[in-house]
Amino acid sequence: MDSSANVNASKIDQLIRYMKFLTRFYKNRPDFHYYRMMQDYYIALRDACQNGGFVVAHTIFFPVEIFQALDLVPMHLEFTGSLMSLFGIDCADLLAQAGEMGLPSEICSAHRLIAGALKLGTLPATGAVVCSNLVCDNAIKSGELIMEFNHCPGFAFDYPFNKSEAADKFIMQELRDVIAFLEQVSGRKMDWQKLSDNVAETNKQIGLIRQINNLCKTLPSPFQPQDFLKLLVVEYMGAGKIESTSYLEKLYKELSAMIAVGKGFTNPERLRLMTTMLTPWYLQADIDSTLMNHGAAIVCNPNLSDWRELPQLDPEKPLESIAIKLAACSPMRMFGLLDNRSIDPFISSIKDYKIDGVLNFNHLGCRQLGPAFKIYKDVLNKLGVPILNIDCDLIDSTITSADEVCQKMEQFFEPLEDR
Amino acid sequence: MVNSRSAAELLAKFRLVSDSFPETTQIKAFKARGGKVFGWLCAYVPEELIYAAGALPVRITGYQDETELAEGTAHLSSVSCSFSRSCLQMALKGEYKFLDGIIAGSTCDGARRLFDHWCRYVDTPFSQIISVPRKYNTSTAEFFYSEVISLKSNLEKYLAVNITDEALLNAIHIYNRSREILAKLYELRKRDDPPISGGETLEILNAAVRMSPTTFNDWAAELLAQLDKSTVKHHGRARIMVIGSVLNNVSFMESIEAQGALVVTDGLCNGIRYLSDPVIRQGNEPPLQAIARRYLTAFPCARMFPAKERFDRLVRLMQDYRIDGIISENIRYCVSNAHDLPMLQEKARTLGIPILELDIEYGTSCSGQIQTRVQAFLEMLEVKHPKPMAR
Repeated sequence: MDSSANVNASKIDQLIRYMKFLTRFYKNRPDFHYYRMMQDYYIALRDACQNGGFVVAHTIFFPVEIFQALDLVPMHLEFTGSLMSLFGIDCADLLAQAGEMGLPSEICSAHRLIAGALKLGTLPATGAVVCSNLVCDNAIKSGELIMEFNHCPGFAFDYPFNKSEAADKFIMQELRDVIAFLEQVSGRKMDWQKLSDNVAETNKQIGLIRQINNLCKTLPSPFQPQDFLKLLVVEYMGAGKIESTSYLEKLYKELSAMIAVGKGFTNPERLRLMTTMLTPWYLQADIDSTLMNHGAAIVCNPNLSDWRELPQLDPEKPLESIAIKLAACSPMRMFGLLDNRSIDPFISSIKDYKIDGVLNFNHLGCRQLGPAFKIYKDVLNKLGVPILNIDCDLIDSTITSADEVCQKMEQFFEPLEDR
Repeated sequence: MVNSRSAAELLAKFRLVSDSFPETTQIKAFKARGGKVFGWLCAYVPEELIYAAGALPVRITGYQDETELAEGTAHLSSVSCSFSRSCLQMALKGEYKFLDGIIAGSTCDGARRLFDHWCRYVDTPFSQIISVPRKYNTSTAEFFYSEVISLKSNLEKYLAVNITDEALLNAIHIYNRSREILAKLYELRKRDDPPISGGETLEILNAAVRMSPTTFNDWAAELLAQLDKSTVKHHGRARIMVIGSVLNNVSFMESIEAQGALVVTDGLCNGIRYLSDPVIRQGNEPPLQAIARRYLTAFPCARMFPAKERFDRLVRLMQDYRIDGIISENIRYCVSNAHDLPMLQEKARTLGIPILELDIEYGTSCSGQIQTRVQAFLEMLEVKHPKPMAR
């Protein structure tokens, strides 16, 4: 199917306007590269139709290096919804539309929002959908719903739950199959050299992210907590892109310079915190200011941007490298079996980053994180580290107010400060 | 109710099995003989393999009635479906302590997290979760087969047995026989006035996974023969298909039927999906390969991709059983079913078959509100089909 359907991309336009503004605002800062990468991403998406681009909507954690090497225009479904929330773009109409489509509120808001947006024509029409079970039932099921309502073909990337040799072989086959599918529906051909180049770039990026994580071990940590989301976006939307590398290089330099003069995100740094997953997208500023008021900093998240399991990727074997990267992707540790592989990084991070407390922003539509909380809590109790659970929605700002979230954080910080 | 004495007696025997749930008298007797009992979680776990290992496979289900799920919720949080919370709470309270092992499939978020908590907080000696692909093709079939082989190898190690092809073939024979009998039982429900109700059928299905399959086959075959010649006729205001999440509470079904619904078929994992698709060996392939293929390709769960195969099968059922309306009972947070409903609504609309959507909790009987909605739905169907329903 051609992706040249008429586009009512008003919300994408709003995103682009924000990105443009922030690119200018951060002209001499690392964020300049981040926002330029994002701006280019959404301009390509918005203009795909007139530029003859083929749009592929995809769900979270699918390796975007593949789309780039196929010269496709990717649309990261969950992040696009999340970014709208981050920039305060009104999404009530999209969620209401999802409700009208029959999607109940217990379905993750990120996926309801996407379904509503595509149904309303708020997002560009897609030529194809690639959904996967990398994270949860919602991701793969919402992908299929989008295919149905957009009358476009799709591919379900089936990722095995257990690790084994057979699973590794299976993943490789799935990657080959998804490439064949994309080539067929788009008429594009895989540029293997480009994929190799992307893998080489991803290598650099992951190296930089590791270095940045290491800098966060410093007391005080120079890292601004809301930048964890930027790392995430870079890893899963901007992987393999040169602009992403530029952002990470500049960020590393800036953080190193801060460390050199003893400057932290908050000075003095009294509390060092860890998060279990994401923080609500629309509350970044409120969370950062609450943290700062209490001399607290979020310094690590072992379930995000933690590439401890990833070996050096081999650009000469790009597809194998992509498979290896997928297997080592840290969020999969939380979304997979909650065994020692999942829990040990948690325990070691407590020590490595000198953690005083843990924040669990419990996204109400997430059937993985909520049930994981009790296990995390019991593990942390044994280590004498308290954890705060905050029920909220990561995207829908109408569920919990900023005051409520920040108050809970403050109540948590007070006894911690006494300790 | 069935008035043939013999059929009634047989139905009572099935009911008695579940009355002693979870450690049914059948399970107790098996354990008393030194047998091992393995719980399986989700219809993608091959019972034949457990049986061929000399163990008794029993399906893990939750409370059979509405129960406060404080402990289950404290572990899995309220965003997990009440089925997983109910199962876990029973296990935490020691009601599944008779199990020697638990085998789960990575079928949905709820099952996966239930397995995580079970392994960490419940003292069941053997545990394994098998990866279950979401789609069917050569590659997924091969991979799922490798997962089943790994389960076989672990069972052999744990039970210190050799699971032979002969044992697997015997297990295939026994479970195919169960499917065959149950399928014939469902055939009776295609009649204008079936000799068995939806509630009674559910009672039998519940018993099927809580007792020895050979005894089940003997009883069920006898019941089938009795029902076939029975003069009992169940009537209703409309012929109903129940679809949605796992459903074990017989009183829920009975309550719908008490409103005048004639439940003649379903799309449930412990209903039609359990009895569909026998294991069929292709040529001289290893029996385990045939078992693995059957489990991956049988009547699909809403988790599978694409949904078309499931919808096609549901549509065939609607036609074969001459359905007037569908009651979709969806346990809250059963996301796979929830995502499918808009698409299924569309399919049913083209066939002119209305769907009543009920968001329920696992184990619920029928609250007054649900009864009112069912009542209104049946009235709507009667208006839609003014002809007498007894066909």
